[in-house]
Amino acid sequence: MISMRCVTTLLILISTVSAGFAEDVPAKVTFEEHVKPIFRQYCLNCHHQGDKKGGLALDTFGSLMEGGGSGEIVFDDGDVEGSRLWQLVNHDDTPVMPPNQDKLPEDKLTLIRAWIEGGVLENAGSKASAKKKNALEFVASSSGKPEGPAAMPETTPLQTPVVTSRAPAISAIAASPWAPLVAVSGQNQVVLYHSQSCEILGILPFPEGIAQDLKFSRDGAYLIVGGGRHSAQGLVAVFDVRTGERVATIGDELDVVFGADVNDSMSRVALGGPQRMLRIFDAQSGEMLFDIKKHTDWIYAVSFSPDGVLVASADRAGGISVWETETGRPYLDLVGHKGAVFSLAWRDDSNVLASASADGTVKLWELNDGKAIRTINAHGGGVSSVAFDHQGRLATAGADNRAKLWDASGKELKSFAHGSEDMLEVAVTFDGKRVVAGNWSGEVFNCSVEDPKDVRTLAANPKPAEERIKAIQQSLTSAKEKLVPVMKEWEAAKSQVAAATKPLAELNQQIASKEAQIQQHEAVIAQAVSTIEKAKSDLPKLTLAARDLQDRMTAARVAGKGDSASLVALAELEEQLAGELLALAKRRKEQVALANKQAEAAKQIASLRNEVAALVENRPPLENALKQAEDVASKAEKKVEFGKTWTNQIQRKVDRYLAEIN
Amino acid sequence: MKRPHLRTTLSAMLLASWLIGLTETHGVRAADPATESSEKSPGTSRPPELAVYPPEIKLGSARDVQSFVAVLRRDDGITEDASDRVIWKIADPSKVARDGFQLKPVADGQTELLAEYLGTTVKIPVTVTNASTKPPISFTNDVMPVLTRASCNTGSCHGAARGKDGFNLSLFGFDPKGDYDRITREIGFRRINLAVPEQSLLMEKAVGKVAHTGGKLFGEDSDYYATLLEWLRTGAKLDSEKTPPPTVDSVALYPPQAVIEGEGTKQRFVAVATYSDGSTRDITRLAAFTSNNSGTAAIDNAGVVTAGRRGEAFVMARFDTHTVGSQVLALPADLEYSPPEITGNYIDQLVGKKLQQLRIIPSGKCSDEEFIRRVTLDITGLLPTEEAYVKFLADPAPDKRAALIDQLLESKEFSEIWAMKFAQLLMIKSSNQVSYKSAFLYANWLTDKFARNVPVDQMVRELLTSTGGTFTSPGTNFYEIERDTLKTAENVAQVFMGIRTQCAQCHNHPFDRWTMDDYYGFASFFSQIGRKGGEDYRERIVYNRGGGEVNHLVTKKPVPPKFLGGESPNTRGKDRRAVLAEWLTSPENPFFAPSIANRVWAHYMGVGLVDEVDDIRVSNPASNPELFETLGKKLVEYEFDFRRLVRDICNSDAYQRSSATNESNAHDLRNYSHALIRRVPAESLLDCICQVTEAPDKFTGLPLGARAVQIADGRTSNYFLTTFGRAPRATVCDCEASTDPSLSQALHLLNGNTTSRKISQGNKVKNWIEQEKLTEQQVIERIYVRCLSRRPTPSEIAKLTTSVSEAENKVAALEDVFWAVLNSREFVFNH
Repeated sequence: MISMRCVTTLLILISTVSAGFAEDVPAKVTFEEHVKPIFRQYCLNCHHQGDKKGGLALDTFGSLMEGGGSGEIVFDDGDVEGSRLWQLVNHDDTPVMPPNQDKLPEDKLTLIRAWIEGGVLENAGSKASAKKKNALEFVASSSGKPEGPAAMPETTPLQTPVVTSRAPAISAIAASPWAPLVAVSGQNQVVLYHSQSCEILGILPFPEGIAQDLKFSRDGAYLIVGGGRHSAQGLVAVFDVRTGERVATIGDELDVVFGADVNDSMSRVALGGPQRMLRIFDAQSGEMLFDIKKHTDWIYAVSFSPDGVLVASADRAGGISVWETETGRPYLDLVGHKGAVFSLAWRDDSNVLASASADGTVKLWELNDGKAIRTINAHGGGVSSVAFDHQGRLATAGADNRAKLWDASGKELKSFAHGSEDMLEVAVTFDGKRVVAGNWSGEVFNCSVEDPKDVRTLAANPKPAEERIKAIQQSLTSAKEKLVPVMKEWEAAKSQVAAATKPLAELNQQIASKEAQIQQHEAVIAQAVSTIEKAKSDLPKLTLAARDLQDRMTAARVAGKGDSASLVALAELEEQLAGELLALAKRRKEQVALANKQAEAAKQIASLRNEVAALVENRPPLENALKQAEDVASKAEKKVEFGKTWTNQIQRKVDRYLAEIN
Repeated sequence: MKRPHLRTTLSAMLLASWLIGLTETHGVRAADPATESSEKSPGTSRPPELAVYPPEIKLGSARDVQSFVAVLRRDDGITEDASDRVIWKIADPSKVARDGFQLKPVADGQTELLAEYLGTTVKIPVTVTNASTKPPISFTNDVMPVLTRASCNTGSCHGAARGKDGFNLSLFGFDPKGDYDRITREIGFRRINLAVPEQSLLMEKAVGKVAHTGGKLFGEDSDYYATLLEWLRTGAKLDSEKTPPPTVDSVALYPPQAVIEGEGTKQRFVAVATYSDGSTRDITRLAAFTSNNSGTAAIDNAGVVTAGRRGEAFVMARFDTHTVGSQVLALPADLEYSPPEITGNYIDQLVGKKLQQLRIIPSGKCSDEEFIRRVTLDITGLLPTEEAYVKFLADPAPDKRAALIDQLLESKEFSEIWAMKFAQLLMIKSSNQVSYKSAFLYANWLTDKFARNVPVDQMVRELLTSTGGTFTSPGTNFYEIERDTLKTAENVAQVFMGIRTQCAQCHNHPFDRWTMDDYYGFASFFSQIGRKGGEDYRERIVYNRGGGEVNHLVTKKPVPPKFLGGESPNTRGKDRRAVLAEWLTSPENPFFAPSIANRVWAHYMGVGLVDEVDDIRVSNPASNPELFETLGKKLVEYEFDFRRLVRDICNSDAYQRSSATNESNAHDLRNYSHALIRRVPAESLLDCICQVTEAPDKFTGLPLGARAVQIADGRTSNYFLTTFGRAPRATVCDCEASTDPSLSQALHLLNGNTTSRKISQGNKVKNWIEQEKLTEQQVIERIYVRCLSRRPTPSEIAKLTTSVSEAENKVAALEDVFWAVLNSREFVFNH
């Protein structure tokens, strides 16, 4: 972390410095005009054609571009940070230059920087070359990604074949390219972990010894295990990740296998070890196709390019060779490392090979001419492992007890310092979110790239299945135990809901009865109104009829002959009229009574309405109480459901273990 | 070449006669002491002389054990391993338990181990501490000894500079920390497996479970295996730097001496190491045992010596950086021997004692003729003159030999011989760096020191501390001839202490006590020498810079000055060379005086007490350690005037013995039971030829007539000197001056121009005949006396006179006789 901060500060410093001097820097900085005078003053004493310390002469442009004993020192692609010259004069790396002296003055450094950024021009007539497309330009490739879900262990064995109190030094770690799955080497076993949950998903027995190299097949469905017993036996085993079944065993070496890999189509297996022979086998038949004698020291690493075209092998003397997979013919020799090369890694697009060496560097090689395009001084004391992720980032592990993550151009992004021993192996998970590194003591650290605090350990020496199942059973019991109060909680919540429902119902009933009354009254009113209305329409008719009758009676009286018949008729008419008038009177009385009744009903309604309003006001708190109770209840229910699923999961695990143990 | 036939015949004849002469003497002398056999003493009355080793036993932990051995010395000096004959008892069995000839701790406390034999009881105190604690396995003190004992780190295995089969260890374990890294971390996933320690490659290779070029080194049931396994089981840790484990202070090998009778007889040895914390450890199963003469005394890995053919051997135990040894004498059973009476000075007492131990009867005294030639050649590098020969032979005085020695010691030739010897050691020679003038002045300075009889210590002090110009202060040339700091230190150690430290530059000395720390500590004394140009371009000025350090090869850190085998002096503000010179030449210095005395002794006796004289080391012990020590003491007593030491040596019976041998001393070359026949060194031989022919040589820069011994510049040479092994002065090794024979030497004497030309150039024969009017026989006699310091035997006279009288040219014939004598081995050798 500290070093990160330093680097950042330094970068800021540099940028501020260059900004500060920006006005003094000429538009076109050239070697002849600007840079050579600086070299003359500070460097040529040792680095001239006559002396050529470290094989480097800076007095002519040609020899400068040629570089020194450790390769080119500037590139014309304008990349300052990647320039060895800049790294040393800017004291980013050792040996700082000029030696035993102060750093060059800032203005000189600014000039050098500007010169490199400007494309390393020779003289005023030179033109900056068009920016070459550096091989470092990463083209993402998703070849090999399986259709459908990536393989995860399903019925992989869980038994621990050998139980040891501590793990051996971690000799191999691999991460599935498409799934949250990490494989770690242990004594006579390879342990498969879930990279997120850190749960043991399976243990592949490897009775032949210890795995020295682990590789997932391109689609992540198979795990290739190279290893064996030192000075006794070496072989490569291929396991089906889903079932844990060993599908192939290839090779029979007299010493252990240090490097093993399978090509993209799973048709070739290559291996190498202390016998110095690179051997390529037919993966199906196990027949040896090529037996290549080239390496002068132990082969430490073997790796197929993701596209399967090439296979690279590296040895203890620092030699790296690249071969054609199909023909076994040499393709390139990558020369430059000054110490053993422990590890090789291909970038997804097969255009860049990374090598980790005991000389403390990781070199990135392009595969057209076999040039080292980057040398990263990764770990003091030696780099023991290197891995690419899908974004072209690099993870490394080294003798400074650290694992590190670098961006595609070799800039340090993160540093993971855990444990107190040499970090031997490293892998990055498929999503690039976790770096898994193992050290000499047998500790494996699963670190989150984002959160430096999120570090978990993975045991390369898992406890026996019997012990692990106990733990799982315990967690089952505790899950079940935890479920009990949750259930209780749920029950209580339910009764709470019931309790809250009751007063609300009562209230609603009251309101309803009142409303019913109101409706009754309203019906009465309506009836009265309709009766009155009807009466109102009837009365004029009755009145008219009565008048007509009177008129007829009067007419009858007038015209009456007083005869009895007329009298009878008149009487009858009078009777009729009286009846009519009586009915009319009755109707009128009724009309009044109805109006009264109507008024009375209206009054009743008003009072009832008031009562209802009062009751309605009581309702919201009751309703709230109910809602709360219901919320609690539903949460409790969810908890219960979750608990039940969890318990079931654990139960399944227990069942799987039990099935295996018995 | 004239008349080669005659010459060849003559020389062959002469040679034969000379050899016959030797055998004859032998026959007479050898009989004398043998007939003097005295009575044998069975000596049964005295109690047996019983010794038990080690003299004290300390058991410091539950792991500790200690083996022991009982040795019985008979009256006749023969020792016998009596371990299984004595009755062993333990005073307090609650403290220790005995298992065979081993003690194991039981409980803390003190007790005694008792050995009873025929009424004699020897008590060995036993102390037990920490009887119940098992200390953790230490990498340096427990693991490294196992690796060394199993010879993992020898030069032919993983100790080779580049290791073996990819695995490299430091030679004999001089760099434990580096070895730790290489075993555990260099290839972190291969050599050890802490999960299953038994499956570590280190272990599987050692017990031969997997293919191992070095084979099976020990078994799985061995204590070595157990030690490594426990170390791995506890995490393969390195010793803490804060509390480093105790270091080995000393190692002892018991018994210190064994005189074994009868081939096949065995003697068990016990090795004990003492650590800096005072604890001891039985290292009989950890030390590496070697014998410098396995034919006489072979020693196996368990420390058991088996006697072989008659002789003397030195068995050694190497542990850590220490090597110690015990003398083993093997004698045939039932040897008839009666010790002769020992006469003579202190030298003879000590030589005689050793010869008695070896049951060797020394040869008798040499004749006066032999003596005068031998002593004159040795002391002056010339042959006795005719007059000296006649005078000495005629002298009736009983002490005439001592008188002759005194007289010769006063001659300037004596100092010239020694000046030349030191000039060889100091490599005085002009070169691109050293001008002829410098070399010449340097040689003159040296000769002057010897001529004025300046004590050696004073001369060495002056030489080592010399400061100034190479012309004005010629001693400074010492630092100009060799400018490399490390080599300068090596040269000082080799020339003035007889110690070769070169090994320790890169690794601890495998056969001596010197560690890399010692080496760089010693080199540090010479790290502050400054050099600059003088006024004359040929002159250089050497001065004390007062600054500068030497870095240790492994730690890369400066090492403060430390005397070899001594303490670190305070050199602040001083010329480090002065501090060193003071220490080196002080009478207490254990190396200086004995090594100088040994060089002197070797010059006169033919072989050093320590041979070679500049290879004094633990594993190359003196043939007579007491004498070696005494000579050193005498030199100190004589205040480093070695003329007096030479006087003692030349007056001793040992020096004056005949070179003829008897049955018991024929094979002895190291114990001075007879005189050794030595070829005359190149310079003296040429001088002698010049002397007898009176035909002087001319050497560059010297006047005509100057002798080869006087040549200042080592570069000046001629064919004769080079052929006869003159020191090229390229290194300080005493072995540079060679007296090994070669065909070209013989051919040069026969056919080369040295003998013939000088005879004719000197023209002596003609003078003798024509001017002195000598007869042929007189001439022949004169030639014999001048060249061989003896008169010809009658048969020689008869044969030679016949040959000469047959010749037409008498002078030429006599010159041929002269030539033949010069070609004889008797002339070329000092006998």
